[in-house]
Amino acid sequence: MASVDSAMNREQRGRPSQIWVVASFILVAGLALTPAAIDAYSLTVVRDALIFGLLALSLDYLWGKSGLLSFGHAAFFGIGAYGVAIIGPKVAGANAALAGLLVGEATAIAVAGLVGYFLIFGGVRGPYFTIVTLAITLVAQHIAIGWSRVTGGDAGLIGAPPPGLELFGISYSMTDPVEQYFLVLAIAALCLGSLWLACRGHYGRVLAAIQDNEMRARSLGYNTSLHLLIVFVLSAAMAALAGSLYAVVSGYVAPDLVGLLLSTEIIVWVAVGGRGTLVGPMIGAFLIIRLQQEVSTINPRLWPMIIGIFFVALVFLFPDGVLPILRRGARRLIGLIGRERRT
Amino acid sequence: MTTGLLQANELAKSFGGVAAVRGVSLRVDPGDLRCIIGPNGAGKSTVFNMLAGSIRPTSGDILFQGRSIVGRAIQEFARLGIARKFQVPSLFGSLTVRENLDVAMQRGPQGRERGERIDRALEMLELVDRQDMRAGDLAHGQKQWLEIGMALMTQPRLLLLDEPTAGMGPEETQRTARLLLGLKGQTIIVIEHDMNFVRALACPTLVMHQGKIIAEGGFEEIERSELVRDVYLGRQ
Repeated sequence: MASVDSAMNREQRGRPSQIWVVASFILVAGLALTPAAIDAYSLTVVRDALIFGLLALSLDYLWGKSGLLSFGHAAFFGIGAYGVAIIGPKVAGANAALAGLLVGEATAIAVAGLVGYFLIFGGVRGPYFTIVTLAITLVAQHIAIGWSRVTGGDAGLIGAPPPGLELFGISYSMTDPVEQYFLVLAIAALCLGSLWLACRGHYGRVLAAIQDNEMRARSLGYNTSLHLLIVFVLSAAMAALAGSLYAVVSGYVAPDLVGLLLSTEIIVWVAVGGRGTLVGPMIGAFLIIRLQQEVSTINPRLWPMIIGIFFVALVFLFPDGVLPILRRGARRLIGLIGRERRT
Repeated sequence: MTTGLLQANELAKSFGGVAAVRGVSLRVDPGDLRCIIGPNGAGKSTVFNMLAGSIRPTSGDILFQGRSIVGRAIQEFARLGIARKFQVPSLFGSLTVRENLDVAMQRGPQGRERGERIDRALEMLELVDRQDMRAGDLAHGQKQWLEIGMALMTQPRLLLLDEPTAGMGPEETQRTARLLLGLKGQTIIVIEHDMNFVRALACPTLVMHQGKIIAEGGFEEIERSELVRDVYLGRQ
């Protein structure tokens, strides 16, 4: 029982425990072998799920690690995607996607920095922060639909360039779906790994402290607003990266990439996977997207309704997410088995 | 004339026309232990919050090491070396005791030296066997001690304690007094209304009543004062 207790303690410190590290390795190894096992179409499904997993990870960095919940992450995802789809075709050569990515990133960082600065340094926290970020998504969606000359309106844009690089006269365009899949996997794993490394030490504890009691952290000398702003901007940049990736590998963008539905879905992915666990939300995205496909084969209109009801249930019934409930269940199960053995 | 470590000149604060503090001046030198006592509503906490930077005085000035610090951001107070302990324990409940002390050391050494400093603090606070416990699960008195420990991790020039024994039993109160008396050379200002605690500290004491300082001196002197007894017993 002592070992279970200490494991729980480690969990409760807000660090991913060894279980999560092992789970991440198995997951990445499994994903690396996936292309050999499934057909081309299924591979694109897994690839997209990975991209949305990266998007979920970006929100978990903000919501899970710093406590700020953003409804604006679909907007940042969209900015990254539209950046590639708008700028990319205008640039000749293999660097087209990269140019679009840079423009998308710069825009996302500027928007997050500007809005974030006024919100966070203005002392806006909790639900108020969430509501204002909701406005970012609404504005972005209106621009995506309304400014049709540039964004293609409801139809969206096709012809986003594939990933590529041109350097010192050597040019390479990545058009092979399997290669693209590995690119996505590598970026997602890199983001997950670096966030995990960054958050497991002192930095993660500082963020946890700010989340617990911001006033106290400030009185200890931490510039908490600056910390939160940096997290918000980095998180938005990561969401934009996911968006750019989506555009370069799928070749098209549409307004539903910036919509409110996507923003809600990201939150559900994180909540289901376990807020603050980093890898959990990526798994959450996988599972929910799979479920979405099953539901959509019955009736495509069913999904927004289900996700909406689920979201309301989430807020009222299990605000800490689904994972703690499962964990409590698992603990009780372990306890029961332990008791069985002793008797 | 030197200004000492901390000097407050004619501090005043009113909340919507109600004067909570009216012309309080005080001076603290390095190494001093000083108590501010007074009945509820005397303005002690308002003075405390002004010294700690969370309330801006309506008028008056606060000099820290000779420089005015009125109107600076709270994190700057911490960086100047002013650490505070809140009245209600405010810890990072989801972090362990050890992690709380680590986070409290905003700067300071890294690596082994950092760990050793945390170890020493745990020993002083008598929390060694609780170090991996979530701070939120500690007993009330232990939370208060951990908070004092957190404030000390920054090696502050000035430690401000707001009712450190609030909600403690007599034994815990005495232990808190011993803890503070053990911090030789540390400049401390304590706000308190528990007379037994202040008696155990036996330090120079200011008495506040209705927003003003009405008496000042050694604790024995204060305790004998007719005026102070009147104020505490509500006769005036």
